[in-house]
Amino acid sequence: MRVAFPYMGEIRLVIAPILRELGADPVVPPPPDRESRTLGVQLAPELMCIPFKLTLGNMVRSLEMGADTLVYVSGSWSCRFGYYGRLQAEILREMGYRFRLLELRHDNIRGIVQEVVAMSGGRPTRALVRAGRALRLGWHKSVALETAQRCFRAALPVAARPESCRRLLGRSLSAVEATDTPGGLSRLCRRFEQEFAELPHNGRKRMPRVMLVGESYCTIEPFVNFDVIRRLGELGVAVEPFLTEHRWLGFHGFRIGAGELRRAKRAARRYWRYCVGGEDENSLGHLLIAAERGYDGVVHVHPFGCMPGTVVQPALEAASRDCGLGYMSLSLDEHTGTAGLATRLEAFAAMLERRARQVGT
Amino acid sequence: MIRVGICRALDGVRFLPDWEAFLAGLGCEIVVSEPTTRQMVESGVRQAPAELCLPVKACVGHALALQGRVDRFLLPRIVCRRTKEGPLFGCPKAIALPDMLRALIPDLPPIVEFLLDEREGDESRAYRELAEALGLRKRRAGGWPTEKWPREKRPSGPAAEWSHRQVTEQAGPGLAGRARTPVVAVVGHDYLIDDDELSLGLLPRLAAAGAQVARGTPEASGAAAILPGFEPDWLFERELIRQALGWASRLEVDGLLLATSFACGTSAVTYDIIRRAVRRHRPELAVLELVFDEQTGPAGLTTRIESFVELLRMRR
Repeated sequence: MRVAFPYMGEIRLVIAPILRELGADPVVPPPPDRESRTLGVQLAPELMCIPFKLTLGNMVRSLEMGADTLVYVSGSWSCRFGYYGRLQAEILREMGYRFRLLELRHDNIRGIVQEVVAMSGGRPTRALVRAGRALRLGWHKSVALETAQRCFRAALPVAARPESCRRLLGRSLSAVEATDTPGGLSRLCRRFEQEFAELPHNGRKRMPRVMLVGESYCTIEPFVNFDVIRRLGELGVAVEPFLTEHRWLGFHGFRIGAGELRRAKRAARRYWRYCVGGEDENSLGHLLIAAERGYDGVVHVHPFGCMPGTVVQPALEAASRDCGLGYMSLSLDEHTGTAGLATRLEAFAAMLERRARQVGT
Repeated sequence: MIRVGICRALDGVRFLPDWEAFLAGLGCEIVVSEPTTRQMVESGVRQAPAELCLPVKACVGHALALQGRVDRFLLPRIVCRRTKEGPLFGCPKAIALPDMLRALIPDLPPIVEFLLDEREGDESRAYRELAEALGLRKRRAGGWPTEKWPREKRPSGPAAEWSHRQVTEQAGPGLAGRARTPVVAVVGHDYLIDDDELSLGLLPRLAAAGAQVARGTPEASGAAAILPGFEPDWLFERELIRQALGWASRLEVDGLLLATSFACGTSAVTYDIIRRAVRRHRPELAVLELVFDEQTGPAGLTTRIESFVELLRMRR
């Protein structure tokens, strides 16, 4: 079974080894780029959100690479995300591709278990052992990935040479991909901490801190958010995303971090009483948590035309006004020009810098 | 006496008769905003986030127009209805509307919600909570609308199951009678198509161009029913899919007009499903999709409608 799955950010580093351990043959297309965007924009409905277009483009590429099963997380809810799998399957089938659609949904746990057992030749005990091993490896990979990214985010604003910091992240991610033992991955974590700490320092003592909130795909996938974490980091702003690959997997797979989500929900209650999807309530809650923790600003990212992402904007603005946080909203689509964005980010960074100085004195 | 304001916008209008009866029973005065005016649209467009769809912006305008004339705002949150086909959900923007309005217009009168989430409680609970939010706990004569009009007495059929107003075939007699009059099935949210300010008078323009308009859910489908690839679990969108494919399966219908507003999130999915199903089963059917936004010049629209109708007439 050659399995492909839509992914964001570096999540493939975790999911592909899990699938391999389970006995499947994962097909991983390259991270979203111009080609997948062009494909997706051509095939998808015009007013669909950008995560749909990019993942569709990537699915075409994985089918070209020989995938025969497409796995989607789906559900029925008012956000369009729940229908990605079925709509993309319609589009791809009309193009003449033949494949099997496997939907991971809450009401189909049984089917998923059967699928996993079938991958182990129909032997439940073997499947159980393999699943245990796969999850253990996946967990370690995910932790190593999170460590590398965390160290990178902390080191970048104070790095004397940002490009060497970037290169180190690239090397670290390759190391995560290449290491397949839990022990090796734990050693990698310790190495990352050390290596990033050893990078030459630019002498900056205080830097503005920003929380990145918004829709999950836009928060996690650097291709679509113009790598906003790196861009702001190079401008001397420390960015903390409210959601990372590790947290996304941990929460959606095992409800890890449910306490924090509850906290965010409670905090958001003043402004937002009903969650409609797209991490609206969660973003709002994290904006308020950021204010509590002394952050200087918040960047909100959402796909253009995202239903929850659009309606939550006035509430985010009101909340950031009430808390005195700097606020910037980025609406993302297939637009590729970076000049306008660079200007906005520079102005935002300068504004935060000034604000941080004022608060400091 | 509490004056309760209701916006004549979005899918909430479907509940209007029930709300009026209910609130009158509780001794409230009901103020419904006037039909959409240009001024309402403009004030809504100024206030609301740019990326919202036109009907939601217009709804903001309705709220602004009512401001100062009412003590409370009544806004619906149609989150989920249990139907025979399983739980179906409302549009996210409409669900989030009360929260958005609160953040957008801070000095708005307090908003009371008609929160209908049938995963958690039925309609009578929604009414009870509404009465409590208004500070009126006492049950008045007349009872809850749901008791007055129980489910089993309502008109049946997939559309009527979730909407109070039965949307039925509105094509009129002699659909295929006049040989030279093309029949155009118009599909789209009622709050857009029936609002001549938002849709720039789409229906009168179609009539003026010489088309006969078919609307609503057809009572019977054609010889071979057209099935969609899949149906998303959106309450009102399922209705649109049934309407569109129902009309598309009837041979006397010459053209299908899909109307939507720019940045309408649900129609991006729904109309794609409709177009694919039509292409598979009745490829010769002409389909026109019109996207409305706050642009006000009707000339382009008239040209497109006229050429569409003319094309259908030539084919006939």
